[in-house]
Amino acid sequence: MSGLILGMKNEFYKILHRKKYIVLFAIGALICIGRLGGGMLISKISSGIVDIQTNMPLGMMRLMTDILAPLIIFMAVTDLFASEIQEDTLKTAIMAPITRAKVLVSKAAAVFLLCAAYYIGYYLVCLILQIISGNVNASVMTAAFGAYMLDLMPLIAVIGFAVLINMISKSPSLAMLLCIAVYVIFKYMEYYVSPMGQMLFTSYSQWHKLWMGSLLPFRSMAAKVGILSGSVLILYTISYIIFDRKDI
Amino acid sequence: MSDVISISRLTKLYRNGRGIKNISLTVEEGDIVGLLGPNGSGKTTIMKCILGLNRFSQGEIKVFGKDLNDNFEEIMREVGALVEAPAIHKDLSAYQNLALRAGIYGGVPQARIERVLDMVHLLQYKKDKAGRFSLGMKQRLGLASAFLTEPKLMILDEPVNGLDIEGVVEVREIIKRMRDEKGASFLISSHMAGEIEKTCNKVAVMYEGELIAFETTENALRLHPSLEDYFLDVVKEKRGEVII
Repeated sequence: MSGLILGMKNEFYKILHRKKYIVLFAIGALICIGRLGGGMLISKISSGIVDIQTNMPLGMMRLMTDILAPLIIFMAVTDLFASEIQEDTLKTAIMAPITRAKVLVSKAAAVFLLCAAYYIGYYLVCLILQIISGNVNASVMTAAFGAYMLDLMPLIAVIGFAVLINMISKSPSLAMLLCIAVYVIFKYMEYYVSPMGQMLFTSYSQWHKLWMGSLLPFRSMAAKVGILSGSVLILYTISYIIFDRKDI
Repeated sequence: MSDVISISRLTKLYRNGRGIKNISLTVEEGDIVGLLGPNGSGKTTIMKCILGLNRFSQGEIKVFGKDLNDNFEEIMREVGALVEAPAIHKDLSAYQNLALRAGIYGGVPQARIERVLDMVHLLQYKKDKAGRFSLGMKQRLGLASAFLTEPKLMILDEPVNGLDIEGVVEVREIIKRMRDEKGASFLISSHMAGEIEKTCNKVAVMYEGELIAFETTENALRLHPSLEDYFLDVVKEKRGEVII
């Protein structure tokens, strides 16, 4: 267990040393500011007739779960797997006192930790902006925080998906391209190919909607939890089998 | 003396048909064993199999008397390695690279990191990005990483690659000192017979994926003026050529 935690710390340390993740966070924060600024501008132009009082954290959520988070995941997983194979640095993790299974899990866990940091960071940015705009409601903000935490869950499957793509890709650029292309196809299927699209892990990105204010019967909710858990299990198992047999 | 590495009938074949066949080799405690052979003879493949980088198709590897596959974590805690090009994160400094490696072992003091950096003459560059290092400096950093945890077994693939003459002598002295003072054992590969001759007490000759000779350096030099001549004779014998 300690090897796993030490490994995760190491992987997270490597991610944090890449400036692009800070830049990406800054871009997201700027979008938040732009959204608030836009709302304030419309309110001013219309002399207060049009008053957009949005719940900013929830408003940002769609952008986060469907675009930003997958992009961050694809980049981070590619950095930790395909890029490390290409740069010949993956062997430092393999030659360490830690099994391959733990190497794989520690890398995936580090990416999950990065996503959690992003979600909390964006939530805080939104909270600060809400306070600045004088439009803050404690119960709404608490619920929004809960929604952010719940929406982290389906990212475990997205990370597993990215790991699997990295296992079968020959180069980082191909891995990144495949991750994005397959993800877009899955998203398209979610909206236009029914009912198969609803069976894919990508259709659960807004996980909080299942639990917060949902009127779905228990059986239906259990089925969705089962689909997501099954996807996680399959994605990580196949990834591990390939990773374990790989010559580094 | 107890066996540190015991390889039995090890086979690893790549898709292109190359690899190693039926290798049996033993490294005893305090040994400095040199794997000598031309490029592509399978030296690195043996090392990669011991380090878990390559999965082997047949055979058995025991390190410190324990099966490698069943006790990998425990074994690797006592192994330091440098295989092929040093695995260096270019966007991290020399110190950060070693701190990263120390992190996975837990409890490696900061002073130890500075000591190994000093040992390989990189202390003054500890804050510099490793990506900007010369080939020789990267090699030194790779060696520092292998020496970091003071392991009982060190597996070094072409350790003096890219080093200047002084660097080569220093590395040789470090290896011998670690063997004499700490009782460490070494498996070193090289395609330069002279280097093996000066560093190792045993020599294993690899040729086309096979181990064709394993001898103490002293014995090898008894009938040959140099290890280079010994190597050439052993290879000729393998090819079935007449040795004059």
